[in-house]
Amino acid sequence: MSGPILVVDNLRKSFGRNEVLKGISLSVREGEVIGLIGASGSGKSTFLRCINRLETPTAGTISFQGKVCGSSSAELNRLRREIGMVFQRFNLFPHLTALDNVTLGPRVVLGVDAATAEREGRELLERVFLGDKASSFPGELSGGQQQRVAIARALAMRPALLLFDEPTSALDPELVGEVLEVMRSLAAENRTMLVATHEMGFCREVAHRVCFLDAGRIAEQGTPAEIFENPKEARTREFLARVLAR
Amino acid sequence: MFGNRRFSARILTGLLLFTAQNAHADDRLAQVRARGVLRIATDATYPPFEFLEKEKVVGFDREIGDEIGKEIGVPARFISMEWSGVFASLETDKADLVMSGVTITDERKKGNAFSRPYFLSGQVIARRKGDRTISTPDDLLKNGRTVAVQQETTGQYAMEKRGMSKERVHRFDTLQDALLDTRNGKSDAAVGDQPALADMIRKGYPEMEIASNQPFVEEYLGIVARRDGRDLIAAVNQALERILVDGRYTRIYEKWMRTPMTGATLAKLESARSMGTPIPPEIEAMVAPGTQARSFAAPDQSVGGSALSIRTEVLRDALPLLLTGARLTLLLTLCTLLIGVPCGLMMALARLSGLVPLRMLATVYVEVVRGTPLLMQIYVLYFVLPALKISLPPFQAGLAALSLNSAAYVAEIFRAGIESIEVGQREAAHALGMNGMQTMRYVILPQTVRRVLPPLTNEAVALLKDSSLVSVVALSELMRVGKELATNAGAPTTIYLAVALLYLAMTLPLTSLVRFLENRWQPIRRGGDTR
Repeated sequence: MSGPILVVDNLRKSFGRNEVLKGISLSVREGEVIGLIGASGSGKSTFLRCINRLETPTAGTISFQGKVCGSSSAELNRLRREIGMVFQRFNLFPHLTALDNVTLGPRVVLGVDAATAEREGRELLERVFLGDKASSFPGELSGGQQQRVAIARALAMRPALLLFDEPTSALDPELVGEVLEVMRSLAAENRTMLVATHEMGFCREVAHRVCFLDAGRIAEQGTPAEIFENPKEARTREFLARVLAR
Repeated sequence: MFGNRRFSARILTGLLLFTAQNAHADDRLAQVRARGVLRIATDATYPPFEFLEKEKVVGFDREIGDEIGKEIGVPARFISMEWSGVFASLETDKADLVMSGVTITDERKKGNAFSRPYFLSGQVIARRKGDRTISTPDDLLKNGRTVAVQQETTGQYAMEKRGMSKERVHRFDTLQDALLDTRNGKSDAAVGDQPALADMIRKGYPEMEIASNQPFVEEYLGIVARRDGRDLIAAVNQALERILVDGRYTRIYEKWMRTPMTGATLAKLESARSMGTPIPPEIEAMVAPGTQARSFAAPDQSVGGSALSIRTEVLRDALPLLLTGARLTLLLTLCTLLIGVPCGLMMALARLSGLVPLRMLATVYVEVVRGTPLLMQIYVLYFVLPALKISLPPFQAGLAALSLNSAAYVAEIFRAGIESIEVGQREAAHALGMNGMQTMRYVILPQTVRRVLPPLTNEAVALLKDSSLVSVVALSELMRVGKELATNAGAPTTIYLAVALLYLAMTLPLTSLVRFLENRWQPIRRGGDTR
C-alpha cells in the first residue's frame, strides 16, 4: 500500500434545504478497500456520487491522484474515466449485448479499436464468469448476471478507483453470493474500492477499513475488528444490533 | 351556384387582399398576351360546368373559355384546384381568370372584376320520382318537411329566406351528398343549381327527378378577374358578345345542358348585361378584338346506373387516375418524412439543450406550428410568400408546409421519448466518462428510437392522410382525384371505396413494417432491470 489516491476534505451536499452530507473527510490509500455502512438515508450513496461528480458538492474539496478536481466538463469526463462505478440497479444499456455493454466505454471514450476492445471485453466477461453470455441482452440475464456484467463494464475502463453503490441491494438473496464473490476476487487483486453496502459479512471479511455513516457524517471508523467487535459509539452499536439481528 | 361556399375562402381572400402587391392598374390583357396563355382557375368538381375527364378539364365553362381565348388571341389553359384556392390564385397572379360557376354578387364585386353574366342559372327542387306532393318551394314549407342543400350556397340561403327553420335544412359538404340524402329518404327534397342537379340525376340517380325546370330563384354567373383586370374583363365581354350572337353559345349550351336554348333565356342574359363590373370607356377603347370561329362535335355522353351501386366500368376508367393520385400522396409523404423526422429530432435536441436561446427558439417554433391549422400554413407558403417575392411551385410549397408541420410533431414525440429514458442510463454513460454528445448518440437515442417507433408510425399514417390538404394548391393527390372523379362519374360509392382501399394499401405495409421492427428489437422491451 502506498500514498493516498483520494482525499476528501469537509465535503458537504444539500438538496434544497435538506443537508445530506454535513462535512465528510476521508483519505483513501491505493489498494485499500473501504466499507461504507449506515442506515438508509445516512448519505452513503450521495457520498459516492459526489466523488465521481454525478452530484455536484455544495462545499468541500476532493483531490484525486493528488489533483483537486475542477468543474469543467472536460475535467469531469477525465475524472470519471479514471473512476469506475457500479450501481444498485445495474443501469446496463438494454439495447446492447453484454459484450457491447462492456466494450462501449473503451471504444467511444478511450478510442480503443474494435478488435482489441472485443478481445478485452471477452476476457472481462470470463473474469466475471459470464464468458458464455457475451451475446445475451441484459433483459435475458438474471439480476446477479446483470450486476456482474456491470462490474465488467466498469473494469473495462481500467479505473484507478472503483465505487460500489449498494451493488447487491436490488438482488434476490440467492443471487447476492455470485456478485460478492466477484468483488472479493477484485479486492484480492489489490484494487482500490469504496463499497457502500449492507453486507456486514463482506465488510468484515474483505474491507481494510469500515466507516459508519450517520446523518451525513462519519460517526466512527476503524478496522472491521474495531467496528464490529468493539464499537465505541452508541449509534454504531445500535445500528449493528439492528442489522445483525436480521 | 356557389354562394359563399367556404368560409375559409373568404378569410383567405381578405388576407390576400391585404398582402397582395399593388400591380399597375388595368394592364392585365397586355400581360396575358405577352405570356401567350390565358390561365383560368376552376374547381373541376362541378359538372356540367367543369369536371375532369381523362385528366382534362371539360364542360360548359371549358368550352366557353376556349372560345374566349380564341377571341382574345391566346389559348386558354384551365387549372383545377380546390374552391377555397380559386380566388386566391387571382390575387397571387397564378391565374388570370376564374371560371368556376361563380355567381355575381355585390360582395364579390368589391374585391374582383366581373364580366357580364354569361349564364342564367337558378335554384330548383329535386324530388323522389313521382312524389307529386312537392313541386314548389311553398310545398317544402308545409308538413314539417326537410330539405337537403349544399352548405353555404344560394340554395341554403333561398330556403332560409323563405322562412324554413334551420334544423329542417340539412346542410352537406357537396350537392352530391344532399342528393344522396334525399334519395335515401332522409330528406324530402334537395335544392340546388338546376344544371348541376340535372346532370347528377341523369348520371347516377334514376330514382330522382327535377320537380320543375323553371328556377324559383334566378342567378347570374360571371367570369372573374382581379380588380385591376378591367381591361381583361372588357375583352372577355366583347368575346362573350360575339359568342352569344353567332350561335356558338347556343351550341355549347345545348351540348352540356341537354335542353334547348330559349329566346327568353337569351333576352334575360342581355338585359342583365350591366350586372358585371362597369368598364370605363377609355379602357373599353383600348381593347381590340380578334376573330375566329369553330364548329362542335355532337354531344356524346353515356348515362350510368345508380350512384349507390358499385360500378366496375367506372372503376376501370378511374383506377389509372386514382393510382396517379396515390403516387403523389406517397411521394409527398415519403419526402415529408425524410425531411420532417431529422428536422424534428434536431428540434427535440434543441428543446432539451442547455442553451437558453436555442431552447426558446425551438419551443416557440413547436408551439406556433402545432397551434395553427396545417391548411393555414399551406396557404401562407403558397399564396402569401409570393408577396415577399418567394414563389414556390405547388409541390415544393406543399412539401415545405407538410415538413415544417410534421417536424414540430416529430420533435414532441422525440422529446417525450428522450425524457422517458431512465436517468440511470445517462448516469451510467457519464460514469464511463462519456460526454453529452456521446451519451446521446450511443445510449439515449438508440433506446429512444425504439420507444418512439409506435407514435412515429402514428404520425406517418396521419401524415399520409393529412397530405390531402395540399390539394388547395392544385396538387392532384389521391383524395382530390377521388373527389373530382366522385362528382364527375356520378358514382361516389364506387370511387370512395376505391380511394379508401388505396389509402389502406399504403398504410398497411407501413404499419406491418413497424410491427416487424418492433419484434426484431424485442429484447429492449424487457429492460435492463428484471425486477
